[in-house]
Amino acid sequence: MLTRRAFLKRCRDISLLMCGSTLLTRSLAEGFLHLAKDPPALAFIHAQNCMACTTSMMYGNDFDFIDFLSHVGRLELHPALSFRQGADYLTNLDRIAAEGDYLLVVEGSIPSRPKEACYLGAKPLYDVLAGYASRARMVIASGSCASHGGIPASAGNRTGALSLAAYLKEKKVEVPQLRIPGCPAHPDHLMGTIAYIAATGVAPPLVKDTQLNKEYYGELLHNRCSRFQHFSQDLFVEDFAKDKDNCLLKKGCRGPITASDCPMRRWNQRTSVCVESNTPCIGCMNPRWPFVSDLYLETADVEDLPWSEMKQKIKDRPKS
Amino acid sequence: MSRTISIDPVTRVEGHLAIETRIDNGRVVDARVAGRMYRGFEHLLIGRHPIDAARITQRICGICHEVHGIAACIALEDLYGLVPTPNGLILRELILGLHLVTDHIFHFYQLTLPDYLDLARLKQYRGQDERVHKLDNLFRNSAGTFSGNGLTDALTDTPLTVEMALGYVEAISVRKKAGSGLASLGGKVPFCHAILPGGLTTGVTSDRLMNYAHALDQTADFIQRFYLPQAQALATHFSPYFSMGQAHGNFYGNGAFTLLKQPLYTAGVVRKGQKEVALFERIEERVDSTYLDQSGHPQVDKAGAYSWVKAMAYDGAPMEVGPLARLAVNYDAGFMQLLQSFKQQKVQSSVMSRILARAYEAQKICQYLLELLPSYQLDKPTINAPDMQAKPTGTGRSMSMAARGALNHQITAKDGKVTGYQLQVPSAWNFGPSITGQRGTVETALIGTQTPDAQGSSSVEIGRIVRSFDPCLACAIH
Repeated sequence: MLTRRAFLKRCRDISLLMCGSTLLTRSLAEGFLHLAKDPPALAFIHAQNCMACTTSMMYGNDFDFIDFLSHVGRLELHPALSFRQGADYLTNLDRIAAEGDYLLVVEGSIPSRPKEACYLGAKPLYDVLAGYASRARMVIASGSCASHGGIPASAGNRTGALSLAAYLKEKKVEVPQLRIPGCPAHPDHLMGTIAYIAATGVAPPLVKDTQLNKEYYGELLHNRCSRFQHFSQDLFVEDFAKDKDNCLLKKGCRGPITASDCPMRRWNQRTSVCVESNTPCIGCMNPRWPFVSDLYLETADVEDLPWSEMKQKIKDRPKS
Repeated sequence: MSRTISIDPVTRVEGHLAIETRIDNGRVVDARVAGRMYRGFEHLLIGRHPIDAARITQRICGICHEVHGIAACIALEDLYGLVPTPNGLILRELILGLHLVTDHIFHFYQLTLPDYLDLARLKQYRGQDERVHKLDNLFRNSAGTFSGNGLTDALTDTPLTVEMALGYVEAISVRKKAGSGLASLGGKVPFCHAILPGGLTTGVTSDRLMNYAHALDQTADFIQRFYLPQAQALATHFSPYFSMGQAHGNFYGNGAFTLLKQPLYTAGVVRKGQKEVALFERIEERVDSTYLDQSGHPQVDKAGAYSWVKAMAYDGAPMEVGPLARLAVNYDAGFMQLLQSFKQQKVQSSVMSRILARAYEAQKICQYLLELLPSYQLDKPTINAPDMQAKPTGTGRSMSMAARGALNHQITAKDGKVTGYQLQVPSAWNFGPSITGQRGTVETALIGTQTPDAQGSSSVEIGRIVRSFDPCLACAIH
């Protein structure tokens, strides 16, 4: 049995995980006490995915997957972890759907033409996903493919890959939705969002006119970057071999057009983050990821407007 | 009497996989292995900047999450005529190696063990270890996932079941630590963005190396204390699986981990017991049974097609790839010794050989990495960076490796744009469909399997055989 002290510490940890402060400790504690008897049921469905979002979740950050299963949710169905297989697995999925009131997490985009590019059991996923989504309490698009289409939906794709939102619209399914973009999704972004729902029973505050959690996607990565001071002082990486601390904007960094708290939250036990490994943000949480333009933009030929504007500002900045 | 067993979906694998078998008198007489999800990565790269391939191909698979990035970088170095720095090569091996090991750990604990354990036994535990009771609660809390494997021959040894169940959770924790080690060099996992052609972008400081070394130590310790002994215990309790899941006995492996005096793996092909050099030119991809037309376009109504995976052949012959194949191609003496302790006189394709090969390799790679680490030179460059504005024309190729076997990339470019990209991926070798009457590797391994009628429409044996190849369908199809 968890002591009161240990329980509150756990709530504080989750509060830190969700919003970087202990602000929510009390309301979380209340939420968890309420939910202790009945943590939400979770079901995962894999579409055109690569499993990195699941892998990312299982690596965790500070908070890990085992904590998550012990304290936040009941994992009722996951294709990569389920002990059941084949028909038994599908029967279990149908049982969950019949019981209703579950959170459905979808990883990957949904192919529409041909819909045979992804199956769930003997049927194309395109035909059956809507049924499972419509019976869920909330549907969560985990990762950039489910959130915005991602790589499978990129230019010239041959499968008519759809984001989850576009798919549900096409199927005329109305259900509360959240998007957790990232290639892969950040473990805190997914597990923290679910923890919030578990604790409060409602979706977290969202960025205006989006389905994005404001806590995580409310600010441009650039504005939270540890190299912002180098940017302000016009110190840019020219040679990856020699410059190890400067701003990566001139290497094509998409931090200025991508909303995420990555630089502060960091990854893998808060060990590091892309920019800290001296490589530009490639905008994997951006709705336009993986872009039509080159990932490592060094030329003037840029169609990403905010980026161009920023470049112009730097060019026009008076030299002291 | 003939009946059909269809396992669709096969769970606890990467990706979308279906198996259909025909059973006569309790024996598998026909088998079809079908990959069921397609994205078209080779096509999605056309027209892009060549360097983009390092980031895009990396995302073919999120379980083997660093291997494609590395294979793409080697191919890009070939295209750009770029020589990576010695430190860059070391860092790349450090990342590849520790990643492969975590991949193996995941396969054994999360994907394989549930085929052999009855977790209800945790209830019978009478000891004082609080972790076991917590674990029992955790598994029962998520019973939808962690029950229902339908075993009639599960491990009956309660203490060993408890130890393995603790290993299940410990494996997740040690992977988290290993992830931190990988992130300290590569930025983050899955998908280190610091990996570029020419080396690694990271400013590698002594503290970063120390964090990596700490993670490597802890991972090696887990393998020593949990993984290798538990894989051996499994092999002891399920020894009939040394003669189940036998494919044709052809093996193919690429060279890898070559920076120390003694390379860990050299390349080669073993066919009919004879070793040959492995030549890229002899590898053939066929789409006869694949939902693709000759130009690579999806064609879902194609006659005779039943999978999205292409069929691979070496000089006309199917091959098995993976840790077992690598060890077979290299006549690994240590592995032979391990096999002999199970009364196996030669390296042979089987369920248990594959499971043991993976555990043995994990330990071997850790030892290699621990030896490699001191050769890193802190005052030398990590990267010989590519000129992103160059507009190369030509071809670049890599013959590299993934946890699941040999991995080849080939890029062609014209005036700085990708005009073709070819991926030859391990699980395509193992999970490819039949062509011209010749069965794929896993299909062959399934033939002859005895599966009791009592299991009805499912089969534990088929699941065990298929998972012993560590299927990765996202890679196989890409």
